[in-house]
Amino acid sequence: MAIDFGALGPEIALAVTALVVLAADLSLRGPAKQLVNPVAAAGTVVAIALTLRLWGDERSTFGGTFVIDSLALTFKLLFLGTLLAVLGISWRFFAEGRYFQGEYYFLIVTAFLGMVLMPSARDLLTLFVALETVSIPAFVMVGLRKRDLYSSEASLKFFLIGVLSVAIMLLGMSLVYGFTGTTSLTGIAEAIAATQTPGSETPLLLAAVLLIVVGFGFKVSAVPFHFWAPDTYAGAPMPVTAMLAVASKAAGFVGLTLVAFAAFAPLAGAWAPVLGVVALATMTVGNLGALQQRDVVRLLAYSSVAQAGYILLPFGVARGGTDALSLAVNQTAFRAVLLYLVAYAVMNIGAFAVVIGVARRSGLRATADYAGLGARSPLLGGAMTVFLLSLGGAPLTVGLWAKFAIVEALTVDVTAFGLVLAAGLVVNSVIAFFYYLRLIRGIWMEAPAEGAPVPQPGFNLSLVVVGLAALTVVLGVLPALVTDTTSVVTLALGR
Amino acid sequence: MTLGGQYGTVAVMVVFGAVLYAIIMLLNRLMRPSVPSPLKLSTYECGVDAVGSGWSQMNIRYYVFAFLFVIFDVEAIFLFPWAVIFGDLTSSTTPSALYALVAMFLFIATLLEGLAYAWRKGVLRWE
Amino acid sequence: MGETIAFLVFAGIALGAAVAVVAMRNLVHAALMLVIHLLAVAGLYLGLESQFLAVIQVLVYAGAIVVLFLFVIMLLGVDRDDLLVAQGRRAVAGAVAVGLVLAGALTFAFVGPYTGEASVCGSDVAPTGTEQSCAGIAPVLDADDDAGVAFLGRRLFTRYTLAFELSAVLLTVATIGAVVLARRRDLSPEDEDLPTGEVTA
Repeated sequence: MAIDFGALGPEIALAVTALVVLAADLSLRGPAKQLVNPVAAAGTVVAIALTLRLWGDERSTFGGTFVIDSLALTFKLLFLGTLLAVLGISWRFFAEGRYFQGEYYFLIVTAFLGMVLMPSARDLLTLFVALETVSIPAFVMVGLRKRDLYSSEASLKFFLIGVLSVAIMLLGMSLVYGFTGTTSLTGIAEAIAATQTPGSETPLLLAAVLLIVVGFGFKVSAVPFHFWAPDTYAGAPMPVTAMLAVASKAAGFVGLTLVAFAAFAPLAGAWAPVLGVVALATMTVGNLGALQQRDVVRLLAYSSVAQAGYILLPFGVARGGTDALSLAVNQTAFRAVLLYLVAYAVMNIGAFAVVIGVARRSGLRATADYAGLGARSPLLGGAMTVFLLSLGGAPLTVGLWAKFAIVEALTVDVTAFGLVLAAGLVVNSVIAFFYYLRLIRGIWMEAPAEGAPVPQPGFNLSLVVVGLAALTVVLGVLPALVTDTTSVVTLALGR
Repeated sequence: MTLGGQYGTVAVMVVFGAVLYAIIMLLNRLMRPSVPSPLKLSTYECGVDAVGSGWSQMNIRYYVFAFLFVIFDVEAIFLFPWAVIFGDLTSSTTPSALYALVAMFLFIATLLEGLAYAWRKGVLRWE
Repeated sequence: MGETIAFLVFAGIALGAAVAVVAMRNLVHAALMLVIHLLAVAGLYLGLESQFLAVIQVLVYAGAIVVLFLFVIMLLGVDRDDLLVAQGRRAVAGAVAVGLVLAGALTFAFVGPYTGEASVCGSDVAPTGTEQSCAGIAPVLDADDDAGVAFLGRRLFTRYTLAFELSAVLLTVATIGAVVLARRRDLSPEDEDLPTGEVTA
């Protein structure tokens, strides 16, 4: 069996980078340790180049457990781009904090190695190991500020709930394997289609599917498995929070998408309504929670719970049939998820970058501290406004098109449930706008507090903020840049 | 002998061992004199009076060693299937011998980097 | 017959020990009960003719992991009274209720439709008794007569090499996590472990 090493290029590049970063940490001393950041960034750039070289290819290796297709490559690029942004906002934070730099960069590259592998995995086992490679470094990274009790609490909560969810998911996966005799996602779909009659599925199989979905529910912090999110986000070092809120969550969604649409599509009649209801509950709870927050990090945490609800919505209308209409519904739903994840990554990383820029040196992160930010730092204030408007889904930002794609997915075939979900999205967007606009009003309309410091973002952080803000607006004006790319992404199943 | 038969032998051994143990302890009990005293229940520590209780707080350094033990225990588990098939591999089999060798050594080398990290950070020193 | 007896014995021990783990007041005793539980599960694996898994269960779980448990328990200090916080009645009742509901749901899903002659595999599809309708499991079993370690090895170095190598990275991450947690300042001559909770100039 020949291994297609070319197809593995991005993963190999990241794995080598991670190991080199660790070795560099062991050999460098004192201030020279900061050099691990550029090393990690260089490795990421190599991985991006290798990904671009594969663009347009359709390959598979390791007996079909690893697949390169448009879906995999799009997400790989998204994750690698996110990694670059996270490295950019981490530079000052960890260089000034001077704690566990080498460890941090090793862990973050490893976590992204898992994410990059995730969209290529077409096998439950590979998918599971990839998911663990995302989670386990995150447990450690959240707790890196050992002397800070909040960080330890955040890490412990995250760890316990994460491990519980993994145990539940594994139970489901082993049952599915026992039932179908294969771990290949397509194999599972074939086995289910061959043995199950719609409407009278075996309870065992439905229970297994539900267990797996619940496991992913923890990963994407869907209600009722969202309790860890605000505490963990607030306690973790802020670049780690940005990583968790965006990349880790996106990886969870990629896994859920693969499992749901590739393996369990024939059972959509069972899981789609469950996920639809979960989506409604998630966005409502997230938005109502965000309304009451006085800490910007917690506000963004609840907001990201709500955003997870939006992304879950298209799953609610998925269908199990194989007729043209069902396939069209699934395809549109899948594309909406993809588009929203891209938009979400751009605007949410940007928002966290601004928060890091403001909190740097001063440690200020209450909503009241953002009063008059626009006057003190037009760059950060302006960028934050763009990101918040986009998160809310205002015109001229990418957020609007992302929400539009979801509404489109919900109404491909008009059903009562689809309309309920769409109505929930609209109502929640209005609630969300309330707290986003409140923060924006503070930034521009209110006078800064007496002696409020002027934020001085570093060069890397400014670059990331400006780049992401520009991307938010450019994609908002010219959505075709994303929609054209994503429209070529079909839900190609494993071979 | 079938698999069940082999376990049958094990089961007989276990039952036989348990019965033998019970008989010996019973004989012991019947034949020994019984003179209980509090001194006999105290902890024996090389003839010196014991200090404190046995439930004392341990050093966290033990934790690192126990953890490394688990890590390399898991590594050893992966070695078994590798060792079993490795003898049958040649350059023309699937997987090829070279491939399996390189894959396993990559695995071990990665773990060794973790060990090197622990060593370099001084958690293995006992001072 | 022997298999059924073995199953009942091991399952009984496993269940009883599991309950004891939760009920024991002394954490060390609970950990020792966990050993019994894990050994009984290894016995169940033997009954399923999965010897390798049974050996792993004893080596890794009953051996290494429980040792780690014990170290952590001793690290926290078992004689501290504050560790044994008495739970309120309502918390206990809630936990029991949730456990029962979960157990009931799982039992319904697993056992409900399959009591009697029907096996887990495709009871709906193959009532003739061939029990082969699980789409993939029969070919997997046929293809491999010497099931167990060799089968595992071949799979590991063909289909799952990527997952295998990645698990090495995972184990390294775990090592680093443990070292970061356990490192003490007096052990580190380097300046990077300063107690800087917040970013400061």
